[in-house]
Amino acid sequence: MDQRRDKLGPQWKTWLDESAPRLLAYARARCHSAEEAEDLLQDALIKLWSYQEERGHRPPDLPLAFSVMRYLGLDQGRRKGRREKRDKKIIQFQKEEDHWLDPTMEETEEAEILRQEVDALPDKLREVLTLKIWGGLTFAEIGKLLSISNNTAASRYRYALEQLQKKLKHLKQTNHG
Amino acid sequence: MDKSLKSLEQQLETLIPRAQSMESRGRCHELIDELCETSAETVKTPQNSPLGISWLGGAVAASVALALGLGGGWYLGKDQNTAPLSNLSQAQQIIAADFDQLDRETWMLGTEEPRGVYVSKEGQVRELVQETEVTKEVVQHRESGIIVTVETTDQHLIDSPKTEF
Repeated sequence: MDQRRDKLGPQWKTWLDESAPRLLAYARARCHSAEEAEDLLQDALIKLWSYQEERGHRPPDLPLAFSVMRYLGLDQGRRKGRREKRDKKIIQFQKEEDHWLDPTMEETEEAEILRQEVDALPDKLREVLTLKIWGGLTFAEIGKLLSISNNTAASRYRYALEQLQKKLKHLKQTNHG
Repeated sequence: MDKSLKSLEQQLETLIPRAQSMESRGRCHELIDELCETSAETVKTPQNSPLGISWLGGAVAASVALALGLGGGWYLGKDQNTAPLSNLSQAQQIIAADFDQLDRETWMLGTEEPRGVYVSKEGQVRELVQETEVTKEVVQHRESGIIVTVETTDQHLIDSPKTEF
């Protein structure tokens, strides 16, 4: 048992280091602040641990982790009054220092605009975009997670991209005009 | 997808999600150590179902678990190479913890089946009748949102004096 435990700790820590940024990016779309998202990740860790008991406590697949994060996020949102939080969140996301996408990783003006426009997307579109681009899930996995069809997931993703493209074009035209 | 959308997609992929803060990472690592310790030390004891779902007591639980697993959307059985849940009480705990009960109703079926007439030791003529009780429960799997309706029937043998004589 000790040997297994000694093996499990490092396995989970490696899994967490690899998956945490993706899971946090998703959690941020549902939480008021970075701290809340990190708390959600910890709660998810406990739940995932118990889920994995039947599989020898091995680290979970990413879709399951997203699924747990989603459920916990919904639960938390319900408790705290989600609508109010969502309004605040949009304002908060405009502050660079608290952005869920790392602003130090890119410096171009376009990247900055993109980050802002992703935040401004409707929740449903941003959720699919986040899961696809930064979560690395397939449309089938996203569909399963959100209880929508694969086609709906793909349509939302495409629609999100089109909206972003439209806004970027408009901004470019305004800047150059 | 046209080229411009593809290029936008690639542009988005260059945006990197912010990493976990060192403080949070440290807390999570501590938590993992604690979980490892706990699982090594704890001898699990069966807990009562938090929902009190009546169907968990029967074989129906196993069939619902199987149906959900096959139906997709529930990851408990995913990629599992080892044997399935080792006993029903474990299955009950896992299932009950993941479901919300939305509705429950019980009724008796109008048809009674006579099972015989006999004379008791006291000389009273008595009749055995079988009644059927139906329970319908609607539960929702919290994560996948799948709603399952479970209908169970219980047979009750009613022993009463036969008054028609």
